[in-house]
This record gives sequence, C-alpha cells and structure tokens, in this order.
Amino acid sequence: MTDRLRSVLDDVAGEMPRPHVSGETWTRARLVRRWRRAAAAGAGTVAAALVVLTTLGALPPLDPPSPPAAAGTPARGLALPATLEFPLAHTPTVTDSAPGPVAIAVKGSLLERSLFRRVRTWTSLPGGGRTERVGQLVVGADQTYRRLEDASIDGSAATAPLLSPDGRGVAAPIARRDVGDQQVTNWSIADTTSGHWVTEVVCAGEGGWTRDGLFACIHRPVKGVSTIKVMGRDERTSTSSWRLRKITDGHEMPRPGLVDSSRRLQLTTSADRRVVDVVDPSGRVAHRVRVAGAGVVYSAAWCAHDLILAVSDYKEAVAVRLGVSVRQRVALPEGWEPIGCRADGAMVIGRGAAGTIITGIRLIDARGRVTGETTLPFEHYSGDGNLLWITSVAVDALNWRVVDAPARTSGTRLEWADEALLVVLLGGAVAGVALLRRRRASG
Amino acid sequence: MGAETAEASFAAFVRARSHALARAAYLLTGDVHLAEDLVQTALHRAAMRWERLIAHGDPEPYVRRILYTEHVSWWRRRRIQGAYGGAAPERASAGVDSDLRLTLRDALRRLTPKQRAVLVLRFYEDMSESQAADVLGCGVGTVKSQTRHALGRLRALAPELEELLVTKGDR
Repeated sequence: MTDRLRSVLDDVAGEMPRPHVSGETWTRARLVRRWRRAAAAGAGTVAAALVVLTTLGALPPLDPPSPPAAAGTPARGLALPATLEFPLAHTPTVTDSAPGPVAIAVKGSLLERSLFRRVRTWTSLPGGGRTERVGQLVVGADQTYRRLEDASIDGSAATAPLLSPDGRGVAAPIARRDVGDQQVTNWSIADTTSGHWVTEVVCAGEGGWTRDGLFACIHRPVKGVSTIKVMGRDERTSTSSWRLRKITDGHEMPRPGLVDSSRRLQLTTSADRRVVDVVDPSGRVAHRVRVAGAGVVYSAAWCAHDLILAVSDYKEAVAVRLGVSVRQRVALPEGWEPIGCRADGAMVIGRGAAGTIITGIRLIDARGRVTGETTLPFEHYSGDGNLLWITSVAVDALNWRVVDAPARTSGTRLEWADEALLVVLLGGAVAGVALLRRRRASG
Repeated sequence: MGAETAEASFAAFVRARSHALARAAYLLTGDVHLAEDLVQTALHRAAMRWERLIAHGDPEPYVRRILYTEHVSWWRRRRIQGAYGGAAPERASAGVDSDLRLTLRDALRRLTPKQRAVLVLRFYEDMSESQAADVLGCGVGTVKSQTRHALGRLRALAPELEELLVTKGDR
C-alpha cells in the first residue's frame, strides 16, 4: 500500500507551486524576538525586585490580628503608641469585633493614593464632594484599630464625633438641619463595647459626654425653656439600653462639659466667659468657679475624682479644685489646650482646637512639665492625597502614657504590597493560560 | 555565529526547502494560499530561534514539526473546515492516476486535520509511527488509531481508492 499511496500523495502534492516566501520574514521574526526578550527581562526585573524588597523587609508583613479587649473593661493601663498610623484598609468594624473601651476616636477622610487609585471605603470626604461610607476610626485601649461606621451618618457634618471619657461611647452628629434660626442636630450614640449604635437624640445645640458615660446636649425649642437632654445607659436593664433623662435649665450652655457621677453638669456662663458654673441635674448651681486672670474661658474639662477643672484661654491652662482655689497654672504650648486629666492629676493637652482637629496629645505633670507626645495621623487635604482628621480624643485618658511601640504597618505600604502581589499573580495566571492554550494548540 | 551568517543560512534554507515544505503543507490544507501561509508561519517561528536550530544540525525536522502542529492549531483556532481543496491549481489531468489523484484529494478534505496529518506523515513523509508521534507531540497509540480511522474513512468515502489502501496482508 505504502508505495502506491505515496505515489498518488506525491502527485497531489505536486499540484503545489513554489511558494512565495516574504523577504521580510527574517527581519520580522527578529523584531518579535527582541520584543519578547525585552518583555521577559522587564517581568523578571519586577519579580526580582519584589522578591528582594520582600526579603529585605521593605514591604512589611501582614500584622497578625490583635485580639479585641474584653467588652466593658475599664480603660485602665491605657497606652498609646508614639505615633498612630493610618489604618489598614481591612480594619474590622466594631460590629465585627468590639474593641472594648476606646482610647481615641477619629473622624475624617482618607483618600489613599494607590496603584489602582482605590479609595478606601471606611470613611468619607468632608464638606461634600464625594460621599463614601462614613465612619470613624477608634483605637482600643489595647491599641487595636476598629472602624465605627454607619451608613446613615452624614459624612459632611463638620462637627467631630465625641468620645465618652470612659471610651465606651461615641456620639456622632449624623444630620443637621436648620429649624427657625437655630441648627438642630441628630446625634447617634454608639456603644463601643458592643459595637452597636444604640440610640439617637435630637438637640438644637452642642452636646457633650459626662464622666460617667452619659451624653448631654441642650435643646432650645423655638418656644419655651432650654432643655438639657441626657442620654445614659439604663443600668437596670442592660448596658446597651439607653434612656432619656431630662432636666430643665435656663443657663446658656455653649459647651456642656462633663458630669461627675451624673450629679453635676459643667457650664460656662455666657456673660463674660470667666465663670464656670457646675450645676446639678435639677439645674441648681452646685459650684461656681471664677477663673481670675485666665482670660476668657474657651473650654473646660473635668478631670479626675478630685474635681480638678482645667480651663484655658489658649495661653494657659488652669487647674482648679472646686470650691477651694486655683491649684495650678500652666502655660500652654502654642496651639495646645487641655482636653482632660490623668488619674494622677496630670493634664492631657491636645494640639489643635477641641472638637475640630487634634494632631497630637501630651501630658503636663503636676510640676508643669510637658512630657510625652502621641502624634496622630493628620494630613491636609491635597486633592487626591491622604487626608485624615483626628477630631476627638478620649479625655478619660486616666492612665494614658506614651509607649515606644514598634511602628505599626501603614495601610499605604501594605496595600502597595497587596497590589503588587495581585499584579504578579494575575500576570502569572495570564501567562499560565497563554501557555496552556499554546500547548493545546500544539496538539 | 554572526547575525549575517545566520540570516544567510536561513535564506539558503528557504530557497532549498520551502517548496518541499509547501508540498506537505498543501497536502495538509488542500489550499495553495493556506499552504503558503502555513509555510510562512513555520519559517517565521523558525527564524526566531534559527541560531539554536542550526547549532543542533538540520533545522528541517523542527520546521516540519512546526508545520504540522501549527496546522492542527489553526484548525482548532479557526475551525478551517472545508478549506481543504479550496484553491487548487489548474493542472492537466488525464488517465487513471489523475483520477485517483483527484479522488484522493477530494477524500482527504473530508478527513479531520489530525487524520490528514497522520496520513501525510506516515505515507508521504514515510515516517514511522514513533516518528510521526514525535512530530505531532502525541502518543504512538494515537498515531496508530488515527491512521486506522483515516484509512477506514478513506475506504468509506472513496471505494475506488481501495487499490491504494490494500496492504500486503489483505491480498
């Protein structure tokens, strides 16, 4: 069969004339080969650089997840790292994992530049523009980061969320509207130990936390007497059940301060702002402190159990023992003001105006020495750069101290590593599929 | 080896072997233009690694292998069914052999590309089963079965080809 079949096959093949082979075949093949070699060299260089960077530790490893603190644990022994880093993109929410008492609360926006120009979703840009999911970053007493977020929160609300002194609650202004000639704010209150938004309260005025974890705000109806609303946990039922308490008061209360054991509210008078009144829930003035020589009282903060009061006129902080005398006067670094006290009486001061942007916190000890500083992440909005506002710090930093914690992994660098790894994996997958197709095509 | 020497070597190979390659390609595709394209593609791919090919001796086996694998992959990619016998050159045909040639050409177009490749390798290139398996990148068993199926299909399609397909054992 072979010879005969071959002869006829040869006859069929003989129909084929001499083919025309392009004279450019060699040149084109060489050009393609150069391109392939250049591409392979580039890919190899990138892969080698990634391997070297990873080996040398330039790209940090993933942080192991930190165990959350037990819910309800008081913020004792609180320690903050010398620098709070930007949060990681996948920072869990308090709902996923309650951080326990919170050491610091952050509200702001973070637009992070990345390979794919991805916008992180845990927060939003202020002042409108574009609204992402809104949230606040909270740092637990054990230094673990959590997101505290709620889709209903108005990210453009300029007012900072307020963190309770014991770190167990956060009040966030979720909506504002004008009613008559005043602005009404809806505050949403979250229990950081359970991770739930527990209640809302509507006030036409400022709000503030009490030392024992009540949220107070003033409601000035268009007609009638000002009402101070106090929201607090209902200890008779459960820790996450809140109830509304009301007291009536005729005082101007530009900035309700902290209440000591729910019995007294701190007020600043509207007359000349040199007097600080402390009233009890019935509206009776329990203490009146005239801060002589201190200038206008801009802000006031309750301190520890001995009723030390710190006030400021931007230039100095005055510690006053209620009903006794001025205990201490401390010149403040420029741009700093008191935001609380430590258990030993040392003042906690923050850089930046309270309720706006705080970029650092320090201690002033009993001798007036400024010690320690935790730098908080803050960068001005720059179009598409990083932006993070620190707008609220736990004033109950009773045992707060600065520790030299190892540098925490920045979300930016980690995301670059993630994305580089993703690119390598995708490239590998594409190359693998192409190789497979070629092999299959080759039979 | 210098680039100029390699290019000259490639040009000499094209001049000497392109027609033979084209004849095999024509048997595979049944179309003059597709055969030219197939040869062009095989030569292009060979040129990309020409230095290595000639360093190992005769480059033709590699080029032929590209020819056959590329032919199968073309079919897989483009499903060039029916292309066989598309553009055949006019050629004077008379006599019994001419009839067989036309019949065989017509029957070949109705085989699968792999069956055609096996037949061409085995009975035109006169390769052994293992050599054909090596070129196609498949097993010897596959070559055997493809050959059996191809011959059986040719018998079914064109009984007049029986005299070409009868083996010594059949007589």
